[in-house]
Amino acid sequence: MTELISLKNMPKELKIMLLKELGYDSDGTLVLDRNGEKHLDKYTNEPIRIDNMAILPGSTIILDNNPLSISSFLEEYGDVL
Amino acid sequence: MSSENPNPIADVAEGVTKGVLSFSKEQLSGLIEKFLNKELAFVEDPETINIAKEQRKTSEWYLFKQYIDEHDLRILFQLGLTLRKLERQKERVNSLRRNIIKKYETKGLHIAQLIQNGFFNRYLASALERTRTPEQLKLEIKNLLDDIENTVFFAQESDNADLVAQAIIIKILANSPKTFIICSSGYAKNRCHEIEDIMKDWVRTGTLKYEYEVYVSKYKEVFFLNKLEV
Repeated sequence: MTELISLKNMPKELKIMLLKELGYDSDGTLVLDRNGEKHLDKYTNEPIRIDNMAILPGSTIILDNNPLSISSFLEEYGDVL
Repeated sequence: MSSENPNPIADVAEGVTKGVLSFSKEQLSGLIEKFLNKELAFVEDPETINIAKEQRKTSEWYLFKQYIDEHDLRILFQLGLTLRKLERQKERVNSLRRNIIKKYETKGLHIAQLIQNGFFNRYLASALERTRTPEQLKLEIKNLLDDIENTVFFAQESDNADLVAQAIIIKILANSPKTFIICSSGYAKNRCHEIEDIMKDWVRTGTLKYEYEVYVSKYKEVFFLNKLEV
């Protein structure tokens, strides 16, 4: 069973550090990819705010933490969370 | 004196910040290791994931998933259940509705609403009685949802019953669906009832070769028109 770690109370600096450790980046508001481009949610095709992101294991998928994206992830990858 | 620190307070603040960050970075390394081992996920608000997971454990989902193979319909069904779960949280409901429309257009929202309001369950009960094999049932469900704009009508309190009934009759005559459903809840129930009365007349006169059944509860009313098998 995957444990869910809440990012709610994590300082922004630490969230950015976490993103960098995982090969991503941030401009302080949005998640950026390796090339400094806005990283888009795979299912909604929208930029992801660092104050509402979900970092999911497997291939390190970063999504916007909204029901549509999460349900789509579960439907695609099964009950891995 | 040249060795005197011009801004000792700033340095202390920086030191404290660095201390906090380096301490947290150590913790972070441990968490990242667990993450890479797929033991944990990072999420702003775990409730979103928990609600999504909860819907995949409901009896409705277990029943429905046997009959729907299409990826997007499966997601819309789960989102319909999520809308129901969030019903009292207007902001979250509106945000989810906006996301559904952006990705799946109004048609997708109507499918999710059919699930959210429990109307689909009533339909399934009715379809189970009429179909003989699981394959037949699968096909009926797929046809209903794929063509939802021509097979389902959500009555509104502000509707003009005569105009709506005419529009529905035109749709039925043009598309000849196996089932047409008129759904209503709350104050729209009264309007639904008026539309039903008009539709029943069309059935009685034989203009519509359909039979009807009505499901009524305290807050909801659903009117089914099922095509007569010739």
